[in-house]
Amino acid sequence: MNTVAGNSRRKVALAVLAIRRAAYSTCIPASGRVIDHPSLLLTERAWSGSRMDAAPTANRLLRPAQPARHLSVAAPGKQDQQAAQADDTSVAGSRSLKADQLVSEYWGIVPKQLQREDGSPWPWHSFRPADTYAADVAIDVDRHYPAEKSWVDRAAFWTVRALRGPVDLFFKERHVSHALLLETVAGVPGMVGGMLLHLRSLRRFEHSGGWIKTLLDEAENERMHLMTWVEVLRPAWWERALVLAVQGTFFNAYFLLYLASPRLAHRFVGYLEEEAVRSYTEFLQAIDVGHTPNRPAPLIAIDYWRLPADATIRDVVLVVRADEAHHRDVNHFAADVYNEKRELRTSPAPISYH
Amino acid sequence: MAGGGSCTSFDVFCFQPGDTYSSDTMIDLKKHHVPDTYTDKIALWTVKALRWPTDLFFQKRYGCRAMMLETVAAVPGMVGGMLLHLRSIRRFEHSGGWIKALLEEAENERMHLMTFMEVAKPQWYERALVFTVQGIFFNAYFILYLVSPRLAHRVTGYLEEEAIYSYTEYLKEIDKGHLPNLPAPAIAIDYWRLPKTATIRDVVLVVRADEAHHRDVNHYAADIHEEGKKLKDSPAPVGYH
Repeated sequence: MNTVAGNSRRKVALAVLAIRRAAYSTCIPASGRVIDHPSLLLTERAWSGSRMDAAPTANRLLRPAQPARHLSVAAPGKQDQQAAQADDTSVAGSRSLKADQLVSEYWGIVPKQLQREDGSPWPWHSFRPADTYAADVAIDVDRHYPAEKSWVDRAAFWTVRALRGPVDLFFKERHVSHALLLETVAGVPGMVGGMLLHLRSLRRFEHSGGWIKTLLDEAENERMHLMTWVEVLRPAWWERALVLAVQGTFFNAYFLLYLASPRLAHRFVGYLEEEAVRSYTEFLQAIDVGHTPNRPAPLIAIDYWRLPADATIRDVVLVVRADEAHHRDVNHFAADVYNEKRELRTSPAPISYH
Repeated sequence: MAGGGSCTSFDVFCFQPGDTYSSDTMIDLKKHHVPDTYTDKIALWTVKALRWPTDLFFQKRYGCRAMMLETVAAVPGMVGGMLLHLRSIRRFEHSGGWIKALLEEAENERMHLMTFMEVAKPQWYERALVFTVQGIFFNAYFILYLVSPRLAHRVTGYLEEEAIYSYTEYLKEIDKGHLPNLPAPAIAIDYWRLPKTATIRDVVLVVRADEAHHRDVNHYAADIHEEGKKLKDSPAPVGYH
Protein backbone atom coordinates (compact mmCIF):
# COMPACT_ATOMS: atom_id res chain seq x y z
CA MET A 1 0.00 0.00 0.00
CA ASN A 2 1.07 3.50 -0.54
CA THR A 3 0.60 4.76 2.96
CA VAL A 4 3.16 7.14 4.33
CA ALA A 5 4.09 4.73 7.09
CA GLY A 6 4.35 1.83 4.65
CA ASN A 7 6.55 3.86 2.32
CA SER A 8 8.91 4.94 5.07
CA ARG A 9 9.17 1.42 6.48
CA ARG A 10 10.07 0.15 3.03
CA LYS A 11 12.66 2.85 2.59
CA VAL A 12 14.24 1.99 5.92
CA ALA A 13 14.27 -1.70 5.05
CA LEU A 14 15.85 -1.00 1.66
CA ALA A 15 18.45 1.24 3.26
CA VAL A 16 19.38 -1.39 5.84
CA LEU A 17 19.64 -4.00 3.10
CA ALA A 18 21.84 -1.75 1.01
CA ILE A 19 24.07 -1.01 4.00
CA ARG A 20 24.46 -4.69 4.79
CA ARG A 21 25.18 -5.48 1.18
CA ALA A 22 27.77 -2.73 0.95
CA ALA A 23 29.42 -3.59 4.22
CA TYR A 24 29.69 -7.26 3.47
CA SER A 25 30.44 -7.22 -0.19
CA THR A 26 33.91 -7.42 -1.58
CA CYS A 27 35.33 -3.94 -1.29
CA ILE A 28 38.33 -2.61 -3.08
CA PRO A 29 39.65 0.37 -1.15
CA ALA A 30 41.71 3.10 -2.69
CA SER A 31 44.93 1.44 -1.62
CA GLY A 32 44.27 -1.42 -4.06
CA ARG A 33 44.14 -4.20 -1.50
CA VAL A 34 41.20 -6.54 -1.99
CA ILE A 35 39.39 -7.47 1.20
CA ASP A 36 37.06 -10.42 1.19
CA HIS A 37 35.07 -9.57 4.22
CA PRO A 38 35.71 -6.78 6.62
CA SER A 39 36.91 -7.58 10.09
CA LEU A 40 38.05 -5.24 12.75
CA LEU A 41 41.59 -6.49 12.60
CA LEU A 42 42.15 -6.37 8.90
CA THR A 43 40.48 -3.33 7.39
CA GLU A 44 40.68 0.37 7.81
CA ARG A 45 37.11 0.55 9.10
CA ALA A 46 35.31 0.02 5.81
CA TRP A 47 32.02 1.21 7.29
CA SER A 48 33.10 4.11 9.42
CA GLY A 49 33.02 6.86 6.86
CA SER A 50 35.54 9.46 5.84
CA ARG A 51 38.43 7.06 5.92
CA MET A 52 41.42 7.16 3.68
CA ASP A 53 41.12 3.55 2.57
CA ALA A 54 37.43 2.86 3.16
CA ALA A 55 35.17 1.30 0.53
CA PRO A 56 33.63 4.13 -1.47
CA THR A 57 30.11 2.61 -1.53
CA ALA A 58 29.92 1.99 2.18
CA ASN A 59 31.30 5.45 2.71
CA ARG A 60 28.58 7.11 0.67
CA LEU A 61 25.76 5.15 2.23
CA LEU A 62 26.77 5.47 5.83
CA ARG A 63 28.09 8.99 5.98
CA PRO A 64 27.34 12.09 3.98
CA ALA A 65 30.10 13.20 1.67
CA GLN A 66 32.74 14.87 3.78
CA PRO A 67 35.72 16.86 2.62
CA ALA A 68 38.95 14.91 2.63
CA ARG A 69 40.34 17.33 5.20
CA HIS A 70 38.66 18.25 8.44
CA LEU A 71 36.86 21.59 8.65
CA SER A 72 39.55 23.07 10.85
CA VAL A 73 41.99 22.49 8.04
CA ALA A 74 40.09 24.98 5.90
CA ALA A 75 41.31 28.54 5.62
CA PRO A 76 40.72 30.28 8.95
CA GLY A 77 38.73 33.14 7.46
CA LYS A 78 36.13 30.77 6.10
CA GLN A 79 35.85 28.93 9.41
CA ASP A 80 35.47 32.15 11.40
CA GLN A 81 32.79 33.38 9.03
CA GLN A 82 30.93 30.13 9.37
CA ALA A 83 31.20 30.28 13.15
CA ALA A 84 30.01 33.87 13.18
CA GLN A 85 27.08 33.03 10.96
CA ALA A 86 26.15 30.12 13.18
CA ASP A 87 26.18 32.45 16.19
CA ASP A 88 24.13 35.14 14.48
CA THR A 89 21.41 32.97 13.06
CA SER A 90 20.21 31.42 16.33
CA VAL A 91 18.69 33.61 18.99
CA ALA A 92 19.87 31.36 21.76
CA GLY A 93 23.33 31.40 20.27
CA SER A 94 23.51 35.17 20.23
CA ARG A 95 22.22 35.38 23.81
CA SER A 96 24.87 33.01 25.10
CA LEU A 97 27.56 34.84 23.16
CA LYS A 98 26.69 38.06 24.97
CA ALA A 99 26.56 36.37 28.35
CA ASP A 100 29.97 34.85 27.72
CA GLN A 101 31.38 38.23 26.79
CA LEU A 102 29.90 39.87 29.87
CA VAL A 103 31.31 37.20 32.13
CA SER A 104 34.73 37.26 30.57
CA GLU A 105 34.87 41.04 30.69
CA TYR A 106 33.75 41.15 34.31
CA TRP A 107 36.62 38.93 35.37
CA GLY A 108 38.99 40.68 33.02
CA ILE A 109 39.54 37.55 31.01
CA VAL A 110 39.70 38.79 27.44
CA PRO A 111 41.95 36.61 25.34
CA LYS A 112 44.39 38.54 23.20
CA GLN A 113 43.79 38.43 19.49
CA LEU A 114 46.94 36.91 18.07
CA GLN A 115 47.95 36.70 14.44
CA ARG A 116 49.96 34.55 12.14
CA GLU A 117 52.85 36.01 10.18
CA ASP A 118 50.58 36.65 7.24
CA GLY A 119 48.14 38.64 9.38
CA SER A 120 45.38 36.07 9.53
CA PRO A 121 43.85 35.56 13.02
CA TRP A 122 45.40 32.84 15.13
CA PRO A 123 42.80 30.08 15.39
CA TRP A 124 44.29 27.92 18.15
CA HIS A 125 43.77 28.27 21.88
CA SER A 126 46.02 25.58 23.24
CA PHE A 127 49.18 26.96 21.73
CA ARG A 128 50.33 30.41 20.72
CA PRO A 129 52.73 31.57 18.04
CA ALA A 130 55.52 31.59 20.62
CA ASP A 131 54.93 27.89 21.32
CA THR A 132 55.54 26.88 17.73
CA TYR A 133 58.92 25.61 16.67
CA ALA A 134 60.78 23.90 13.87
CA ALA A 135 61.65 20.34 14.83
CA ASP A 136 65.22 19.19 14.31
CA VAL A 137 64.69 16.32 11.88
CA ALA A 138 68.43 15.68 11.75
CA ILE A 139 68.22 14.12 15.22
CA ASP A 140 69.66 10.62 15.36
CA VAL A 141 66.68 8.29 15.11
CA ASP A 142 68.66 5.08 15.30
CA ARG A 143 70.01 5.60 18.78
CA HIS A 144 69.25 2.83 21.21
CA TYR A 145 70.05 2.70 24.87
CA PRO A 146 71.75 -0.63 25.55
CA ALA A 147 70.00 -2.42 28.41
CA GLU A 148 73.14 -3.76 29.99
CA LYS A 149 73.75 -1.77 33.11
CA SER A 150 71.19 -3.11 35.54
CA TRP A 151 68.16 -5.31 35.93
CA VAL A 152 65.96 -2.21 35.97
CA ASP A 153 67.04 -1.35 32.44
CA ARG A 154 66.57 -4.91 31.28
CA ALA A 155 63.10 -5.12 32.87
CA ALA A 156 62.05 -1.92 31.13
CA PHE A 157 63.43 -3.05 27.79
CA TRP A 158 61.83 -6.50 27.82
CA THR A 159 58.46 -5.12 29.02
CA VAL A 160 58.34 -2.77 26.06
CA ARG A 161 59.53 -5.54 23.75
CA ALA A 162 56.78 -7.83 25.00
CA LEU A 163 54.12 -5.18 24.41
CA ARG A 164 55.36 -4.63 20.87
CA GLY A 165 54.11 -7.99 19.59
CA PRO A 166 50.38 -7.68 20.33
CA VAL A 167 50.33 -4.00 19.37
CA ASP A 168 51.86 -4.67 15.96
CA LEU A 169 49.50 -7.58 15.46
CA PHE A 170 46.52 -5.37 16.27
CA PHE A 171 47.41 -2.48 14.01
CA LYS A 172 49.30 -4.16 11.15
CA GLU A 173 49.34 -1.65 8.28
CA ARG A 174 46.96 0.87 9.84
CA HIS A 175 49.63 3.39 10.61
CA VAL A 176 47.48 6.44 11.26
CA SER A 177 45.25 4.53 13.63
CA HIS A 178 48.37 3.19 15.35
CA ALA A 179 49.74 6.72 15.72
CA LEU A 180 46.41 8.07 16.94
CA LEU A 181 45.90 5.48 19.64
CA LEU A 182 49.47 5.39 20.85
CA GLU A 183 49.61 9.15 21.25
CA THR A 184 46.74 8.84 23.72
CA VAL A 185 49.03 6.63 25.80
CA ALA A 186 52.09 8.77 25.25
CA GLY A 187 50.45 11.85 26.74
CA VAL A 188 50.19 10.25 30.17
CA PRO A 189 53.77 9.67 31.47
CA GLY A 190 54.94 13.27 31.12
CA MET A 191 51.90 14.57 32.97
CA VAL A 192 52.11 12.01 35.76
CA GLY A 193 55.83 12.57 36.20
CA GLY A 194 55.47 16.34 36.10
CA MET A 195 52.68 16.29 38.65
CA LEU A 196 54.53 14.02 41.07
CA LEU A 197 57.68 16.12 40.83
CA HIS A 198 55.56 19.25 41.38
CA LEU A 199 54.01 17.79 44.52
CA ARG A 200 57.39 16.64 45.75
CA SER A 201 58.91 20.06 45.21
CA LEU A 202 56.06 21.58 47.23
CA ARG A 203 56.18 19.27 50.20
CA ARG A 204 59.95 19.09 50.48
CA PHE A 205 60.43 22.83 49.89
CA GLU A 206 62.97 22.02 47.20
CA HIS A 207 63.79 23.33 43.76
CA SER A 208 62.97 21.09 40.83
CA GLY A 209 65.87 21.63 38.46
CA GLY A 210 63.47 22.48 35.65
CA TRP A 211 62.21 18.92 35.33
CA ILE A 212 58.57 19.72 36.06
CA LYS A 213 58.41 21.99 33.07
CA THR A 214 60.30 19.53 30.86
CA LEU A 215 57.97 16.66 31.61
CA LEU A 216 54.82 18.77 31.33
CA ASP A 217 56.07 20.13 27.99
CA GLU A 218 56.61 16.56 26.83
CA ALA A 219 53.02 15.68 27.76
CA GLU A 220 51.70 18.74 25.96
CA ASN A 221 53.78 17.91 22.91
CA GLU A 222 52.40 14.38 22.79
CA ARG A 223 48.89 15.82 23.11
CA MET A 224 49.61 18.06 20.12
CA HIS A 225 50.65 14.96 18.20
CA LEU A 226 47.25 13.51 19.09
CA MET A 227 45.40 16.68 18.06
CA THR A 228 47.20 16.49 14.74
CA TRP A 229 46.40 12.84 14.06
CA VAL A 230 42.77 13.34 15.00
CA GLU A 231 42.53 15.81 12.11
CA VAL A 232 43.73 13.08 9.78
CA LEU A 233 41.60 10.24 11.11
CA ARG A 234 38.44 10.30 13.19
CA PRO A 235 38.44 7.57 15.84
CA ALA A 236 35.78 4.86 15.61
CA TRP A 237 33.57 4.00 18.59
CA TRP A 238 35.58 0.94 19.55
CA GLU A 239 38.84 2.92 19.36
CA ARG A 240 37.36 5.42 21.79
CA ALA A 241 36.30 2.60 24.11
CA LEU A 242 39.78 1.11 23.90
CA VAL A 243 41.34 4.45 24.73
CA LEU A 244 39.13 4.82 27.80
CA ALA A 245 40.12 1.38 29.06
CA VAL A 246 43.80 1.85 28.36
CA GLN A 247 43.94 5.29 29.93
CA GLY A 248 42.27 4.08 33.09
CA THR A 249 44.77 1.24 33.42
CA PHE A 250 47.91 2.97 32.27
CA PHE A 251 47.44 6.17 34.27
CA ASN A 252 47.12 4.30 37.54
CA ALA A 253 49.89 1.84 36.71
CA TYR A 254 52.33 4.56 35.69
CA PHE A 255 51.40 6.68 38.74
CA LEU A 256 52.28 3.81 41.07
CA LEU A 257 55.38 2.97 39.03
CA TYR A 258 56.66 6.53 39.24
CA LEU A 259 56.13 6.55 42.99
CA ALA A 260 57.88 3.20 43.40
CA SER A 261 60.75 3.69 40.98
CA PRO A 262 61.10 6.86 38.90
CA ARG A 263 64.19 5.33 37.37
CA LEU A 264 62.29 2.37 35.96
CA ALA A 265 59.49 4.70 34.86
CA HIS A 266 61.80 6.97 32.86
CA ARG A 267 63.69 4.04 31.36
CA PHE A 268 60.38 2.46 30.36
CA VAL A 269 59.26 5.65 28.66
CA GLY A 270 62.61 5.95 26.93
CA TYR A 271 62.18 2.51 25.42
CA LEU A 272 58.55 3.28 24.54
CA GLU A 273 59.77 6.30 22.61
CA GLU A 274 62.33 4.14 20.83
CA GLU A 275 59.45 1.93 19.71
CA ALA A 276 57.52 5.02 18.64
CA VAL A 277 60.45 6.12 16.50
CA ARG A 278 60.58 2.66 14.93
CA SER A 279 56.83 2.71 14.22
CA TYR A 280 57.01 6.14 12.62
CA THR A 281 59.91 4.93 10.46
CA GLU A 282 57.67 2.10 9.26
CA PHE A 283 54.93 4.66 8.65
CA LEU A 284 57.33 6.63 6.44
CA GLN A 285 58.20 3.48 4.53
CA ALA A 286 54.51 2.71 4.02
CA ILE A 287 53.97 6.20 2.62
CA ASP A 288 56.97 5.94 0.33
CA VAL A 289 55.85 2.56 -0.99
CA GLY A 290 52.30 3.87 -1.49
CA HIS A 291 50.38 1.70 0.99
CA THR A 292 49.30 4.76 2.93
CA PRO A 293 48.16 7.85 1.05
CA ASN A 294 50.18 11.02 1.44
CA ARG A 295 47.49 13.67 1.93
CA PRO A 296 48.14 17.35 2.66
CA ALA A 297 49.12 18.07 6.24
CA PRO A 298 46.44 19.38 8.64
CA LEU A 299 46.54 23.11 9.36
CA ILE A 300 47.25 22.57 13.04
CA ALA A 301 50.46 20.72 12.12
CA ILE A 302 51.54 23.42 9.70
CA ASP A 303 51.09 26.06 12.41
CA TYR A 304 52.58 24.09 15.29
CA TRP A 305 55.72 22.83 13.57
CA ARG A 306 56.10 25.80 11.24
CA LEU A 307 55.86 23.58 8.18
CA PRO A 308 55.57 25.01 4.66
CA ALA A 309 52.01 25.51 3.44
CA ASP A 310 52.30 22.60 0.99
CA ALA A 311 53.45 20.12 3.64
CA THR A 312 52.11 16.58 3.52
CA ILE A 313 51.51 13.79 6.01
CA ARG A 314 55.02 12.57 5.31
CA ASP A 315 56.47 15.86 6.60
CA VAL A 316 54.28 15.61 9.69
CA VAL A 317 55.53 12.08 10.38
CA LEU A 318 59.13 13.31 10.04
CA VAL A 319 58.72 16.06 12.63
CA VAL A 320 56.67 13.89 14.99
CA ARG A 321 59.36 11.22 14.81
CA ALA A 322 62.00 13.85 15.63
CA ASP A 323 59.94 14.87 18.67
CA GLU A 324 59.72 11.25 19.83
CA ALA A 325 63.48 10.90 19.43
CA HIS A 326 63.96 13.95 21.63
CA HIS A 327 61.63 12.54 24.29
CA ARG A 328 63.60 9.30 24.13
CA ASP A 329 66.78 11.21 24.88
CA VAL A 330 65.21 13.20 27.72
CA ASN A 331 63.76 10.14 29.45
CA HIS A 332 66.90 8.04 29.08
CA PHE A 333 68.87 10.96 30.49
CA ALA A 334 66.52 11.19 33.48
CA ALA A 335 66.94 7.46 34.11
CA ASP A 336 70.71 7.83 33.81
CA VAL A 337 70.66 10.52 36.48
CA TYR A 338 69.02 8.02 38.83
CA ASN A 339 71.43 5.29 37.69
CA GLU A 340 74.31 7.47 38.82
CA LYS A 341 72.64 7.90 42.20
CA ARG A 342 72.10 11.60 41.64
CA GLU A 343 68.88 13.57 41.92
CA LEU A 344 66.95 15.19 39.13
CA ARG A 345 66.92 18.53 40.86
CA THR A 346 70.69 18.88 40.71
CA SER A 347 70.95 17.80 37.06
CA PRO A 348 69.43 20.54 34.94
CA ALA A 349 66.77 19.40 32.57
CA PRO A 350 66.90 20.02 28.83
CA ILE A 351 64.11 22.57 28.55
CA SER A 352 63.03 24.79 25.64
CA TYR A 353 62.78 22.14 22.96
CA HIS A 354 60.09 19.53 22.96
CA MET B 1 72.26 31.19 35.19
CA ALA B 2 68.70 30.90 34.08
CA GLY B 3 67.58 34.29 35.34
CA GLY B 4 70.58 36.34 34.20
CA GLY B 5 71.60 39.60 35.85
CA SER B 6 74.28 40.27 38.39
CA CYS B 7 72.02 40.28 41.43
CA THR B 8 71.47 36.56 41.48
CA SER B 9 73.99 34.24 42.97
CA PHE B 10 72.47 30.82 42.65
CA ASP B 11 71.36 28.52 39.89
CA VAL B 12 67.67 28.08 39.36
CA PHE B 13 66.57 26.19 36.32
CA CYS B 14 62.83 26.13 36.75
CA PHE B 15 62.23 29.35 34.88
CA GLN B 16 63.98 31.04 32.01
CA PRO B 17 64.16 34.71 31.12
CA GLY B 18 61.13 34.24 28.86
CA ASP B 19 59.05 33.13 31.83
CA THR B 20 59.62 36.31 33.83
CA TYR B 21 57.05 39.07 33.81
CA SER B 22 55.89 42.25 35.53
CA SER B 23 52.81 41.79 37.65
CA ASP B 24 49.93 44.19 37.16
CA THR B 25 49.53 45.56 40.69
CA MET B 26 46.65 47.78 39.58
CA ILE B 27 44.38 44.73 39.41
CA ASP B 28 41.15 45.14 41.35
CA LEU B 29 41.65 43.45 44.72
CA LYS B 30 38.14 44.02 46.01
CA LYS B 31 36.30 41.87 43.49
CA HIS B 32 34.27 39.19 45.19
CA HIS B 33 31.98 36.63 43.69
CA VAL B 34 28.67 36.91 45.47
CA PRO B 35 27.41 33.36 45.94
CA ASP B 36 24.04 32.92 44.28
CA THR B 37 23.55 29.17 44.23
CA TYR B 38 23.88 26.45 46.83
CA THR B 39 27.10 25.26 45.26
CA ASP B 40 28.63 28.70 45.61
CA LYS B 41 27.46 29.01 49.20
CA ILE B 42 28.97 25.62 50.05
CA ALA B 43 32.24 26.75 48.46
CA LEU B 44 32.31 30.06 50.33
CA TRP B 45 31.46 28.63 53.72
CA THR B 46 33.94 25.76 53.37
CA VAL B 47 36.68 28.27 52.75
CA LYS B 48 35.54 30.52 55.59
CA ALA B 49 35.41 27.53 57.93
CA LEU B 50 38.95 26.53 56.99
CA ARG B 51 40.13 30.04 57.68
CA TRP B 52 39.44 29.82 61.42
CA PRO B 53 41.95 27.04 62.35
CA THR B 54 44.49 28.56 59.95
CA ASP B 55 44.27 31.92 61.71
CA LEU B 56 44.58 30.15 65.05
CA PHE B 57 47.73 28.33 63.98
CA PHE B 58 49.58 31.19 62.27
CA GLN B 59 48.25 34.29 64.02
CA LYS B 60 50.50 37.13 62.98
CA ARG B 61 53.27 35.04 61.42
CA TYR B 62 52.42 36.03 57.90
CA GLY B 63 55.71 35.02 56.32
CA CYS B 64 55.34 31.49 57.59
CA ARG B 65 51.66 31.51 56.65
CA ALA B 66 52.46 32.55 53.07
CA MET B 67 55.06 29.84 52.74
CA MET B 68 52.85 27.05 54.05
CA LEU B 69 49.69 28.09 52.24
CA GLU B 70 51.50 28.27 48.91
CA THR B 71 52.20 24.55 49.27
CA VAL B 72 48.43 24.09 49.28
CA ALA B 73 47.71 26.69 46.61
CA ALA B 74 49.89 24.98 44.03
CA VAL B 75 47.80 21.79 44.09
CA PRO B 76 44.47 22.82 42.47
CA GLY B 77 46.01 24.11 39.26
CA MET B 78 48.06 20.97 38.79
CA VAL B 79 45.16 18.61 39.55
CA GLY B 80 42.79 20.54 37.27
CA GLY B 81 45.36 20.75 34.49
CA MET B 82 46.11 17.05 34.68
CA LEU B 83 42.45 16.01 34.64
CA LEU B 84 41.71 18.29 31.70
CA HIS B 85 44.78 16.90 29.89
CA LEU B 86 43.61 13.33 30.39
CA ARG B 87 40.09 14.26 29.31
CA SER B 88 41.31 16.00 26.17
CA ILE B 89 43.34 12.90 25.29
CA ARG B 90 40.65 10.31 25.83
CA ARG B 91 37.90 12.31 24.15
CA PHE B 92 40.11 13.46 21.27
CA GLU B 93 38.99 17.02 21.94
CA HIS B 94 40.69 20.41 22.07
CA SER B 95 41.11 21.99 25.45
CA GLY B 96 40.52 25.66 24.77
CA GLY B 97 43.85 26.54 26.34
CA TRP B 98 42.68 25.65 29.86
CA ILE B 99 45.29 22.95 30.45
CA LYS B 100 48.03 25.46 29.96
CA ALA B 101 46.22 28.15 31.98
CA LEU B 102 45.80 25.88 35.01
CA LEU B 103 49.30 24.43 34.84
CA GLU B 104 50.69 27.95 34.64
CA GLU B 105 48.71 28.84 37.74
CA ALA B 106 50.21 25.86 39.56
CA GLU B 107 53.73 26.77 38.48
CA ASN B 108 53.17 30.37 39.52
CA GLU B 109 52.02 29.32 43.00
CA ARG B 110 55.07 27.08 43.25
CA MET B 111 57.25 30.06 42.43
CA HIS B 112 55.52 31.93 45.26
CA LEU B 113 56.57 29.03 47.50
CA MET B 114 60.15 29.08 46.23
CA THR B 115 60.21 32.79 47.03
CA PHE B 116 58.74 32.62 50.52
CA MET B 117 61.02 29.68 51.33
CA GLU B 118 63.84 32.20 51.25
CA VAL B 119 61.91 34.40 53.69
CA ALA B 120 60.71 31.90 56.26
CA LYS B 121 62.68 28.72 56.69
CA PRO B 122 60.34 25.81 57.55
CA GLN B 123 60.72 23.96 60.85
CA TRP B 124 60.44 20.19 61.17
CA TYR B 125 56.87 20.28 62.47
CA GLU B 126 55.83 22.66 59.69
CA ARG B 127 57.27 20.23 57.16
CA ALA B 128 55.34 17.39 58.78
CA LEU B 129 52.16 19.45 58.63
CA VAL B 130 52.71 20.20 54.94
CA PHE B 131 53.16 16.48 54.21
CA THR B 132 49.89 15.65 55.94
CA VAL B 133 47.93 18.48 54.41
CA GLN B 134 49.19 17.68 50.92
CA GLY B 135 48.20 14.04 51.25
CA ILE B 136 44.66 14.99 52.27
CA PHE B 137 44.13 18.00 50.05
CA PHE B 138 45.49 16.45 46.86
CA ASN B 139 43.15 13.48 47.07
CA ALA B 140 40.17 15.56 48.18
CA TYR B 141 40.61 18.10 45.38
CA PHE B 142 41.19 15.32 42.81
CA ILE B 143 37.88 13.69 43.71
CA LEU B 144 36.16 17.08 43.91
CA TYR B 145 37.35 18.02 40.44
CA LEU B 146 36.06 14.73 39.05
CA VAL B 147 32.69 15.12 40.76
CA SER B 148 32.11 18.84 40.25
CA PRO B 149 34.69 20.98 38.44
CA ARG B 150 32.41 23.94 39.04
CA LEU B 151 32.56 23.59 42.80
CA ALA B 152 36.30 22.98 42.58
CA HIS B 153 36.96 26.17 40.64
CA ARG B 154 34.64 28.14 42.90
CA VAL B 155 36.45 26.87 46.00
CA THR B 156 39.78 27.84 44.47
CA GLY B 157 38.40 31.28 43.57
CA TYR B 158 37.31 31.87 47.16
CA LEU B 159 40.62 30.50 48.47
CA GLU B 160 42.40 33.09 46.36
CA GLU B 161 40.12 35.82 47.74
CA GLU B 162 41.19 34.78 51.23
CA ALA B 163 44.80 34.80 50.09
CA ILE B 164 44.40 38.40 48.91
CA TYR B 165 43.01 39.33 52.32
CA SER B 166 45.90 37.61 54.10
CA TYR B 167 48.51 39.34 51.95
CA THR B 168 46.82 42.67 52.66
CA GLU B 169 47.15 41.94 56.38
CA TYR B 170 50.80 40.99 55.78
CA LEU B 171 51.37 44.38 54.18
CA LYS B 172 49.77 46.12 57.15
CA GLU B 173 52.05 44.26 59.56
CA ILE B 174 55.09 45.20 57.51
CA ASP B 175 54.00 48.85 57.42
CA LYS B 176 53.46 48.87 61.19
CA GLY B 177 56.97 47.46 61.62
CA HIS B 178 55.91 44.21 63.32
CA LEU B 179 57.43 42.11 60.55
CA PRO B 180 60.86 42.77 59.04
CA ASN B 181 61.01 44.33 55.60
CA LEU B 182 64.17 42.62 54.37
CA PRO B 183 65.56 42.89 50.85
CA ALA B 184 63.71 40.73 48.35
CA PRO B 185 65.20 37.32 47.53
CA ALA B 186 67.07 37.14 44.23
CA ILE B 187 64.64 34.63 42.80
CA ALA B 188 61.80 37.12 43.26
CA ILE B 189 63.73 39.96 41.65
CA ASP B 190 64.40 37.77 38.62
CA TYR B 191 60.96 36.22 38.32
CA TRP B 192 58.88 39.37 38.71
CA ARG B 193 61.44 41.73 37.13
CA LEU B 194 61.60 43.82 40.30
CA PRO B 195 64.18 46.56 40.79
CA LYS B 196 67.36 45.46 42.56
CA THR B 197 66.40 47.49 45.63
CA ALA B 198 63.10 45.66 46.02
CA THR B 199 62.01 44.53 49.46
CA ILE B 200 59.67 41.92 50.89
CA ARG B 201 56.90 44.49 50.70
CA ASP B 202 57.27 44.72 46.92
CA VAL B 203 57.24 40.95 46.70
CA VAL B 204 54.01 40.74 48.69
CA LEU B 205 52.45 43.35 46.38
CA VAL B 206 53.21 41.35 43.23
CA VAL B 207 52.26 38.03 44.80
CA ARG B 208 48.95 39.50 45.88
CA ALA B 209 48.35 40.72 42.32
CA ASP B 210 49.03 37.19 41.08
CA GLU B 211 46.51 35.78 43.56
CA ALA B 212 43.93 38.30 42.30
CA HIS B 213 44.49 37.09 38.77
CA HIS B 214 44.08 33.46 39.83
CA ARG B 215 40.86 34.43 41.60
CA ASP B 216 39.55 35.90 38.34
CA VAL B 217 40.55 32.87 36.29
CA ASN B 218 38.97 30.37 38.67
CA HIS B 219 35.74 32.31 39.18
CA TYR B 220 35.52 32.68 35.40
CA ALA B 221 35.97 28.93 34.95
CA ALA B 222 33.25 28.28 37.53
CA ASP B 223 30.95 30.79 35.81
CA ILE B 224 31.43 28.96 32.52
CA HIS B 225 30.29 25.74 34.17
CA GLU B 226 27.38 27.58 35.79
CA GLU B 227 26.16 28.73 32.41
CA GLY B 228 26.14 25.13 31.28
CA LYS B 229 28.98 25.63 28.83
CA LYS B 230 32.19 23.71 28.46
CA LEU B 231 35.62 25.03 29.24
CA LYS B 232 36.87 23.92 25.84
CA ASP B 233 34.51 26.33 24.10
CA SER B 234 35.54 29.38 26.13
CA PRO B 235 39.16 30.32 25.51
CA ALA B 236 41.31 30.55 28.59
CA PRO B 237 43.61 33.43 29.53
CA VAL B 238 47.03 32.00 28.84
CA GLY B 239 50.21 33.97 29.11
CA TYR B 240 49.78 36.05 32.24
CA HIS B 241 49.79 34.55 35.67
